Amino acid sequence: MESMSWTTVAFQIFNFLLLAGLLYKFLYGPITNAMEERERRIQQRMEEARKREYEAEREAKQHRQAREELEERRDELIEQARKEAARLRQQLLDEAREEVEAAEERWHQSLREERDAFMRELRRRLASQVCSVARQALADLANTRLQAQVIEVFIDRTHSLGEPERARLREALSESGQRPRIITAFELSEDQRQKLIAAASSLLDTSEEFEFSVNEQLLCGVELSVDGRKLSWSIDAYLDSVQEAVDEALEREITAGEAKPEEQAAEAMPSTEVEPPGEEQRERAES
Amino acid sequence: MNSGVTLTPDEIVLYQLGPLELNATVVFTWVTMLLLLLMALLVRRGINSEVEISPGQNLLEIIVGGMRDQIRELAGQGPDQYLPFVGTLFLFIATCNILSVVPGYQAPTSSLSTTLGLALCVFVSVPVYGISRRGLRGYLRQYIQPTPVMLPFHIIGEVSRTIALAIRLFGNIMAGALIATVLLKVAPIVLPTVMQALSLLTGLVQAYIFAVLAMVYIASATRASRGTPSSEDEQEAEDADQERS
Repeated sequence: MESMSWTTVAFQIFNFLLLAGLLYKFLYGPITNAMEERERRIQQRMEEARKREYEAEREAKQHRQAREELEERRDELIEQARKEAARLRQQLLDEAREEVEAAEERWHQSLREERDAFMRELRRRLASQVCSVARQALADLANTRLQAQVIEVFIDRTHSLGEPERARLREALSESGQRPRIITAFELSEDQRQKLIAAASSLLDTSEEFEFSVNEQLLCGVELSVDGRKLSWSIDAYLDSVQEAVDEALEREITAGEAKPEEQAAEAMPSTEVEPPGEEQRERAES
Repeated sequence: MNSGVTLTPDEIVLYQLGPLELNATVVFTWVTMLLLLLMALLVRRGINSEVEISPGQNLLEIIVGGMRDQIRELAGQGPDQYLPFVGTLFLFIATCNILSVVPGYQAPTSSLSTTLGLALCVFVSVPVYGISRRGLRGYLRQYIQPTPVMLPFHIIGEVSRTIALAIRLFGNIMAGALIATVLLKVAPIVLPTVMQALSLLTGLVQAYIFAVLAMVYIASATRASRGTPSSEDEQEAEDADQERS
């Protein structure tokens, strides 16, 4: 044991303990702490990763479920959409049809109105034409012989005139002081003049002179005029009354047509079936 | 021993102050200590707990982690309280033995003073750990297990194993160095290199053996008494299991 000294042993024991202490402070402690800290972190990350994995799995499951549900419902949704589309199509078709019908109706309406207006105008013109034709025919026929007939008729009429009319004429004569006037379409013969003077004097109960004048517009007529009051007979008067009657009838029809366009339209048939309004008047005029 | 070959660095006295002599053993021990401390401080500066670490930290973590695993395995309990002692034993001895290949370096472990000092540390640490773990009565009881007749044998065993610990390490290292020296003189070309390489292995193995034996002694003092396992032992085993998990 000579190679050994107890002093050195003591030194070495001290050195070793010192080294152990220093290494504990500077090596084992920090290293162990770092390792444990790392382990803890890794553990934590693993935990987080597990948590995330769990979350991801859960979400994936949810998505899978949602997708499956969607797939299950897909057919149903498609069927629903198809029905909806069909319904919409039908609705649009209905609307279009209604619109077309409305347009058609409007067109029909305007057509009817046009036809009515045309018919009214046609009737008016027809009546007017009939009157003018009758007037023209009578004018052509009018001559002195016809006038003789007319004078006869006029004289008959003065005889058959009622008392009130006679009184009014006489009154007018007495109030005026003018000479009564006899208007004819043609120049009168002396005989005719005398007949008329006799009849008028008897009518008016006067001995005054009569004034004679000619007016071709009268159409074979005779007119006795006393201070604006007139006693006359002429075809023109008849024709005027016919014209008035026709106008009145047309006016009535137009008014009724505006009130009931539908009925009017239904009644408005081809013009051949419509009685010409002038027919009756013509007969009356001829009579 | 005066053949020109120094068997132990104790013989190289560098400074003498009265009875205190500063020999190569102490000086090289300080050198080794400084190296270890320097390494620890260098690594400690950049130490972190991230996943990416420096190579030095990685090396130290491997070493420290390996020691912890070994201690845990041997002690069957938490390694932290034994690590400073047993780990330093291993690190110090291993460093000395590895550095012995450096020319001019005299391994302190080739001095019986050093190995005896370390063995004495183990000798003292065994009852310290045993008493701190099991209490004085519990520790002392193991000396009279299974019968009080065994007490002298236990005491002899304690002493002899401490001496064996010291002599084993000293013998191995000293022998390695001696053989290398002798071979250097006999066949100085190739053989010394091979022997040096072999001594590296031997040195590491000796460091490992020394540390493991120290741990075994401590563990035997802190763990079950021989034979019948007590409830305390079971508790310890459970603790160890928990720490392992």
